Amino acid sequence: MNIRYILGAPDGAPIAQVLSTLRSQSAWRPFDERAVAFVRRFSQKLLTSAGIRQHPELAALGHWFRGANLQTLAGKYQFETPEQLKLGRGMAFHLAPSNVDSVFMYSWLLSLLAGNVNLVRVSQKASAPLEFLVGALAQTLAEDVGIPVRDRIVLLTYPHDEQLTRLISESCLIRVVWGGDATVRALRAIPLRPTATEICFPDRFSACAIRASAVLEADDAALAQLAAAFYNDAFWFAQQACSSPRLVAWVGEEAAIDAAADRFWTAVDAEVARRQPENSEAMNMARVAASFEYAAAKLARPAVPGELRGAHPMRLRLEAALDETAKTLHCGNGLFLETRLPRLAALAPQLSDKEQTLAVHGFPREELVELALALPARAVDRFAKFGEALSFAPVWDGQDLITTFSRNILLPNG
Amino acid sequence: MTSSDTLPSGPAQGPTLPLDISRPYDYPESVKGPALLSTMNELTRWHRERGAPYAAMVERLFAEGDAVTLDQVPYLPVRLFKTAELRSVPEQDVIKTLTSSGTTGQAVSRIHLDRETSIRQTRVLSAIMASFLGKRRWPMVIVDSGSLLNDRRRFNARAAGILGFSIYGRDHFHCLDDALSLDVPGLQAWLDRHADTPVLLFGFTFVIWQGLYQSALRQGVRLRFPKGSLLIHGGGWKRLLDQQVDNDEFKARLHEQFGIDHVHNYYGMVEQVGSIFMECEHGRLHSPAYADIIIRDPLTLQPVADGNPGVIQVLSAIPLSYPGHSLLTEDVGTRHGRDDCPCGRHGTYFSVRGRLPQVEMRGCSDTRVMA
Repeated sequence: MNIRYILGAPDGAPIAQVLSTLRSQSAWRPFDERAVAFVRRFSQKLLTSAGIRQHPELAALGHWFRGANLQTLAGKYQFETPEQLKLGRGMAFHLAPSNVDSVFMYSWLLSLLAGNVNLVRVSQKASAPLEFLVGALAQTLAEDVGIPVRDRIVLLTYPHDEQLTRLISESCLIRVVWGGDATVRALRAIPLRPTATEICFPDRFSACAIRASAVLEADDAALAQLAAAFYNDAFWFAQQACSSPRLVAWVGEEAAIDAAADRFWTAVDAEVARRQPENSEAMNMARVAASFEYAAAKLARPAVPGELRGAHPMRLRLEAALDETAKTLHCGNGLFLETRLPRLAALAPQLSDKEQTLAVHGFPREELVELALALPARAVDRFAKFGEALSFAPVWDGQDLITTFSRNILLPNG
Repeated sequence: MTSSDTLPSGPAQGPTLPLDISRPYDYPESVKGPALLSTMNELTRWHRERGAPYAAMVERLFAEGDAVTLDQVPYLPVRLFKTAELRSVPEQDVIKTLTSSGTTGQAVSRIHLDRETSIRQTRVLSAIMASFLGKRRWPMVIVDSGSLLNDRRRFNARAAGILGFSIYGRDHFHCLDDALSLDVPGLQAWLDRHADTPVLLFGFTFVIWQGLYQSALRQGVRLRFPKGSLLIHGGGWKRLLDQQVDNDEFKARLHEQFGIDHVHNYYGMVEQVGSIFMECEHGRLHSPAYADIIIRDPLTLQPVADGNPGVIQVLSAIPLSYPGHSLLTEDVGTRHGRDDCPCGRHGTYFSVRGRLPQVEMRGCSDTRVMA
């Protein structure tokens, strides 16, 4: 078998033996001091590594797992009550997307904190962020703080091999899949042991909604702040994170939207000019090709008349309700679909279980709840403020990860 | 069989370039320019009337009315043929569908040809070939295996190319076996029969390199082709550039190993079969009268001046059955000039440098299925 161990097992180790070692480790309680100490140290290591500036998303990861935040997070759960005890599930099998995304690191570190032992399969493709992460992990594991967790982490990679995936899937008690819809489907066909559970993070689509009047009422400073927040949501990761907004839904009267959109996009253009996001030739070609595909299907046309090609951001106005095709054609890379609605709740019928994050600006809580109650099943897992669409939360895709990664053991009462 | 035998009688079906099809390199810009522009405008109208997706794109993304200059002619990104069904004839008029894999992954282009478009492809290609081969047919070596041409209705680009070029030769010999290894005794015996006359070789660039050159090198054979022999090859340089083999190296090695005097690359694609861009004796790719190229800045898609690299837009007056008369490729090239090449051919001439890199997939989604 073509397994390459990155961490936690020597080259050529038989997988059966690796699995057996992992499975022989007992599950810990969530936020066991040994796991917390390791993650805290890893976070320090990451933040103080030379070269972290080249990987802002990894700096954010390190910052998120800092000691103080771990303490706050642990304080949200009750690990032992008279009635029950929380414990990790056992061996977790994590499948990362083909390009390492920091969000996937969050999930397996949370699994470690939840008390699990972890086998992590990363992509075959080498990448600078992955090497950086592996370096920091290896250094942390080599220290004293790494000793107790050494037998609880294996990082490996292997080419497409259903037999191997099947073997590992039969051993684990929870499988965590990050990947495109096709990957999730292919993995779902590979059985788990009957007592195991699974959590999947498939392709998602995210949007934002803006009340036109809120943009018109904002002073210049507030507007610039809003544009900066939108920039952080939409331009990082080339708009390809599952929570990057791809649709901008305007809410208000036509005339107000005209004026607000004009003001908003002018501010965004200024922010883009100031911060110079990555905009490669290939990214432009991808946007252009997508704009042709939308036009061919009569789904969208340029939001402003005139020369569209080369625009970054590129804006298209939806001509019909947002449907599955419109979501699938979107390629990220700085392309925005726009639509107009009289009220926020009118967005509900255009959403589906594909939607993850809706970043919102200018709506009172009641309107968000009104929309939430009108949503189709499973649509929208979170409403976020502008600027926080990409922020990681321990509740992801609608699930509390610490809770999902652990189990409750009932105790006899009294 | 020549193409003219199969020409339909009666009125022309679809917009036609009003220039003598048999003189692909004779027209200066002052004659070709206005003729091609007018035909392009007619073709844009033709396809708008016959294909709803094409009409929807042109209406939404380009200015209304006829193009006043060639660079205003609406174009489609070539990758659209991989995702959309683009056809300007009823399905029952499609006589064959060409496919190409391209380099982006699983998706293939699907190009639907009707009888008229297919005939036009052959006629234009014949005129271009005549400029390099004359009117006679040469004994021909096809550098590929004979078993490639099985499914006649759904050709891949390689099979279509081989079939298209085969009509310019006679006494054909496929010199590779099914494993794309050189059939040395077979080729030697064939060469013994054609020792006194120049022969034509045709194949795809990387097949020639691997199957002919490297195979001969590995087997330790040194074959000599007759003096004046000429090799035509196309299909792209990607795999050769990966091995640091450029056009000069390619020519030098083939000359050294086989004594092939003339090696001509061509630039063409399955989306515009027929109006290919042949490399002349001075190493320049030439637009025939039926085609032209425009170079655009990949970030703004504005046309750039000659001498500057950019993405290549290809124009062809051939396609009637699919909206492929104006396509934006993802190849990078430079237009160097027009009408003044020392080889004497008119038209624009250019060089191709490679392909634009593809966008990197990031974020949570996977780029391919993994189980």
